[in-house]
Amino acid sequence: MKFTNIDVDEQGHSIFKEVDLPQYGIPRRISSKNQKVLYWKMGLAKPGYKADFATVLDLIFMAVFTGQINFTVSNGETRQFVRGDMLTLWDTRGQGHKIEVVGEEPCHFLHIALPDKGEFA
Amino acid sequence: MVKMKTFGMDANQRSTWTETEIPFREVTPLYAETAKQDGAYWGISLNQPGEPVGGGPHEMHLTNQPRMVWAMSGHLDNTLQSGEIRRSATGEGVVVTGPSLHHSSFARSREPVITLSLTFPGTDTYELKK
Repeated sequence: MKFTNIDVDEQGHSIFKEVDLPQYGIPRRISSKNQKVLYWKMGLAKPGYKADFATVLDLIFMAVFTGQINFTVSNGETRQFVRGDMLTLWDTRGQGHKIEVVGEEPCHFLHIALPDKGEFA
Repeated sequence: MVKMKTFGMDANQRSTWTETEIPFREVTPLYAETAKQDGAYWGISLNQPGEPVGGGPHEMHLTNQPRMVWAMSGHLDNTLQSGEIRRSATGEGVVVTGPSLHHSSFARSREPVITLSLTFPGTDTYELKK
């Protein structure tokens, strides 16, 4: 299963990439292997909430449950994530990314901090 | 404050629906977050619509580990021993506790049901940090 990923290039620019988490099983149900958790937390941001460019402290897997949140990377590209979207944040160094919650609904999200990239490729 | 529907137990130790309050603390007027919480492992599954998990349309099973499960696409249905079925639409989740018998199935639709599960340490219940 492929996910949008925010990574860092050699110059420290944050960029959008794609990562894949392999799935195993039978046609009616495929699953990833269990992935390790460093810690997890939830956030709830109201429309209008912004955070300027910053790196993440740990490797993060993020799931968006409600609302709309825009991520902008340092090359200027912005992508919007909504209910049901999942992404990974690997930019623990470099210029980081900025976020803005848009629309009319609060953005409820989950961060799972990872000790390593596990099976992500 | 966020509430999540939760597998609970009635006085006769049969599974029934209850709620879990997720404790958030305000960081700014526009942003609140939970404390960092302990986790054991997480995973993603992609399920074909209309397919029950496990042994057929009426089976019930235990998990023996507390976890949260969210539907990240499609709709997930959970049935407890009380007979009540609750549906999680995309972005909605359920708190699963170890001793609660339940049945899970996926609503018929044109899209597969993607579930995200986050499993907690322990075998029974899990206490959220405030």
